[in-house]
Amino acid sequence: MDTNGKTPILHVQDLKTYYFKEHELIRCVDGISFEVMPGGRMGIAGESGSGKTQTVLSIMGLNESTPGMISGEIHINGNRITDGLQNLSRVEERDGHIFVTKDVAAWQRIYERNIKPHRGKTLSMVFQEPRSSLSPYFTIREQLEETLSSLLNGSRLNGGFEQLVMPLFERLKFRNSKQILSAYPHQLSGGESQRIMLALALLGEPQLLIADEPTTQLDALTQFHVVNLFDSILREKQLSLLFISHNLALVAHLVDTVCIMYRGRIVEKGPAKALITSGSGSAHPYTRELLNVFNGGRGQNRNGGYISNAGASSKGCRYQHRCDLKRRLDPGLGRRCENESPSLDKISKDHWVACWHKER
Amino acid sequence: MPRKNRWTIYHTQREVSFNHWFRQNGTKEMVAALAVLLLLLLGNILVALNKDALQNKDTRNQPPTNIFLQWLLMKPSLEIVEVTQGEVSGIDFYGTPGASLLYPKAAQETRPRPRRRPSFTAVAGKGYTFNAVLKDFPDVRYALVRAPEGMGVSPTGQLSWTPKAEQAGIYKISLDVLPFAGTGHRLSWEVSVSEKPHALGTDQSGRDILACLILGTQWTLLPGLIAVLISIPLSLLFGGMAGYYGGMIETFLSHGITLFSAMPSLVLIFLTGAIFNFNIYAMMAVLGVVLFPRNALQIKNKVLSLKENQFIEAARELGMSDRRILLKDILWHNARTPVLSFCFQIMAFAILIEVTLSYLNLGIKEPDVSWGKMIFDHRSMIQEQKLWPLFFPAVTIFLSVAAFYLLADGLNKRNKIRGV
Amino acid sequence: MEILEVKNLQKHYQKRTGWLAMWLPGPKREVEAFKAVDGVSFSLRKGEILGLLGESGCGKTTLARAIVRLIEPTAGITRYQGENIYEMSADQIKTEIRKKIRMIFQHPDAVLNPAFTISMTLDQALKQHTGLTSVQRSEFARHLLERVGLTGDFSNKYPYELSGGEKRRVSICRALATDPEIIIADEPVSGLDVTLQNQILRLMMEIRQEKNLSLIIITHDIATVQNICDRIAVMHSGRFVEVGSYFLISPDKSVHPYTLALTQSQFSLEPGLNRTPGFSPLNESANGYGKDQGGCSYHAYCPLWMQLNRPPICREMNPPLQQVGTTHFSACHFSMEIMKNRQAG
Repeated sequence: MDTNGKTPILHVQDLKTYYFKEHELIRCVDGISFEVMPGGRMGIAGESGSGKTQTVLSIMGLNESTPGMISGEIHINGNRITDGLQNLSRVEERDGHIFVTKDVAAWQRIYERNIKPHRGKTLSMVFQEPRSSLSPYFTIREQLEETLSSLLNGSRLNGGFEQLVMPLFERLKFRNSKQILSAYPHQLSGGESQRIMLALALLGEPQLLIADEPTTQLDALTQFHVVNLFDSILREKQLSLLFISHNLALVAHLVDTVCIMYRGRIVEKGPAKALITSGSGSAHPYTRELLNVFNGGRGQNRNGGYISNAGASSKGCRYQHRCDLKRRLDPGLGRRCENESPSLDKISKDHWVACWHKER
Repeated sequence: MPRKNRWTIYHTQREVSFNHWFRQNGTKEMVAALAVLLLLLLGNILVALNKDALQNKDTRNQPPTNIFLQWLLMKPSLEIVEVTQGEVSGIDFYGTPGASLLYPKAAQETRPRPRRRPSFTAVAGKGYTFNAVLKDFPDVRYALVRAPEGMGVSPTGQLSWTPKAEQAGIYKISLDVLPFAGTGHRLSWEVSVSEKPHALGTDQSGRDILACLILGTQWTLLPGLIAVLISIPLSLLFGGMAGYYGGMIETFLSHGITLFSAMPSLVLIFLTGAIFNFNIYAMMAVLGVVLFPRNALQIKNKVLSLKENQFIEAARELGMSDRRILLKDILWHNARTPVLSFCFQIMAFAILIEVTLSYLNLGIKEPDVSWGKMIFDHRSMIQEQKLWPLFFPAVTIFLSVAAFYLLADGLNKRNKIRGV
Repeated sequence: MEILEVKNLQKHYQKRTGWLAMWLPGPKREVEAFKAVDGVSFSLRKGEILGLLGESGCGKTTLARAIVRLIEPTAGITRYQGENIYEMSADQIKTEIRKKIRMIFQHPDAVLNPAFTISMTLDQALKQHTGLTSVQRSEFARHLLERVGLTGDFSNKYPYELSGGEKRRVSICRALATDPEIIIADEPVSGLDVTLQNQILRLMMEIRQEKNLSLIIITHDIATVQNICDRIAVMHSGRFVEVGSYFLISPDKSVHPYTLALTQSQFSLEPGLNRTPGFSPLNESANGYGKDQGGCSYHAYCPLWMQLNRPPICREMNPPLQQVGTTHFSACHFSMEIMKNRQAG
């Protein structure tokens, strides 16, 4: 856990989150492990359906699906959040069917108790859709006050609002701060709402900011400005970042290490610049596919695969149906892809790949 | 290991679909209500096949033969209890009209006390024995003065009789207590003999109460349908158009809805009755007009909330006319549940209105029978402490009104409508 | 052959003020007219793809709606195959325009009626405009769904059961159902991840190839239009600021500061690719905010204006759309300067 003698802010080991959809078990997160060091930046990239949002929601305890998170170790600053949850869930496989048994209420209770002191104070989150994350009935000022008072455990703010919030507000570079404060969320544009979300997240002075696709819904110019704002604030306050996106270029711009996820598993993990910007650094065929799309522009890609969520088929590599590499290999080698699911192997100092035929 | 009852088990096998359906909110109420209503309606079919059960003028005012229901007779006078062995003794002279005259004041302390109570009903084909015994007066002799054919009395006071099928009717029996004969100590009572046992008894004109109940459902429930048929189109029209077209139309229609909701229901119904000679259909139509505003308001709110959605714009982009959009896109799916639940509420209210009207003799008239009419006919029975003709219609009114409201409630819960 | 011609289209929203004016009928006091679309002209040939670039609030959705006549414009003409749409009768609109000019809306989850299954939604479209029998309709609907890649039993699914990409395909189906000639796609791929965007755009191009459709793709993301469109128009605050062929949208060809800002705000895999040295976009350019004082609507956010020390002409005069190349138009007072500087080195 301690690498180079420092405790990681967030350490996740073998996280598994399943949910049920119409008699089918969807393994949306199936054994994810990563860690975020203080001051470091980690990115999680992947398509929609790869489980990236569910990962962070499970970590934050906001996952409401059933059964939800069923196993995994999560440590925040060395504190074990999954303490007391060992015996509450169990997965068995019998006759081709999977039986998941979990005491949902007890899990929720214990996890909530464990993560409550950290939520907002050590970790905080910025969500994808700014408009629906803000309550439409209250002005911005009221919502900031509410968050602030709940962070201070309900004590009254005696003029504290001006001291605590206004500096942060000025930093966010709004056009007209006074007007924004007394406005309702529906009166704001997308970029402004996302900045408010950032302010709300930063109120508790967290050590780690988790951003779940914060700029996907925004226009191009707004995205540029918001991303730059994120970058500068994080640099100024020396915060760590866990950034989720499907835009590889954006991820490469912001983070140091990136995890590429596909259908619930990490398929490649390594330094962002090496993997993404210089295209030869990536070793997994999926990363290469994503990069091809970016480079070749939209509308001209050769590969046109769909993610089919055939949930229970657990045999073999999950990417095999779309894998360009497998198509080009001999059938003899390809059989290994069909029978065994590849594990995440280390191929160099910071670089892990989950493929039997890593190209190097 | 955690406690067993807190575990939730999921598996990839198919869920039991009946269980899933039954556990949905509101299903239990709806099933219960539907069972009740189905029973009521099925009875109609049975009686329709057996029409002559309705009229049996020979057995007026016959209380229920069912031994379990006889507690409804608060203070019956005499009864002939069906005995197969053993004896019943004692006559209660009290309660018999004129009984008090049989006793001089001095003998009141020694008047006989009953141990069993005789009844007025007999069923043809069964044998009845009745022992008249005067306690503390062992040496009396009895003689029948007036009796139906076939009834005989032994001098010691045992009456026995097996009524024949042709003997259905009401008979007066007079029994003389010989030492006191001539001093007015004559015991008289009536026995009504019916060919078939009436499970719930008969009313004062001789109709079998069960048959009246069942046939009465028609007259109680059907006029409610008129109210429903008037109310639904009005509420859809007012509410749908007010919600969809804004502006002036909405203003006018909303004010119209408010106007109608301010009208007092019962007063208007009486007025309509006065105009149309208390024709129940006219009165129910007016009830429909009076009750539609609440539903119209609900529909209008639903339409307003859906109107701004982009799929309405998409439908307009396709070229669909306003009317089609309103009917198909919005109302067909979204208005069905509120309208249906509202129908049930109207039916329940209509039943109560009908009972109110009939109790005042302004509703259903002879020879038709409805539950309210039954209550009206027997409204004086309370004084005579014969409750059964009132009890059964009251039970059915309660059950059917509760059933309709339960249906409405269950439907709302099932489809998650709040605050109706 | 020009299939669609738009001339000087304007849509102004007028605000009535004063509480008394709300209640009394009478002439509206035009205190502030919000100009959503302020004089847009372009033409579309058959089989051409036009990309409309603009951020949220610039009026592109209003423009699309006005072209299809879902809203009535304040002024201007739209000619479909020579005839002015705004002068057609309601009947003609219903049978002709609604069939031939179709729109794909921005949020597919809002557009599909949640009470209808997909087959019912498509059936609605088919019943309105084709004369097929019920069996033929369901067959055609299934064929359409297969064409866009939704194989399997999708007919009886409700919108909430589908993912975002699948819903977009269904809206494409819905637009194709009436065999149109022009499709206006409003943000067809926003909010999807790159591989899905790829698939959907490729699908649209294939269909365009098959049926020789004309497409207008409205988006805010340059990457969407970069490899697809024949012509691109950039819109800001209700006006076109640059119109030209597709290769113009690159930092070394475009001559309008707004377009340059857009190109530079893209994140690309090779950092520094799109950056013109010394040229960085300022704050987000807010479309339509602030009073219209007659000058260029972009000048307050224009980095070039800052760089040139705020020349007063930008604040006083609204630059018209001038020709700067054979098919290249730009609405900036300094376009020629930018071009000359670039040629010089």
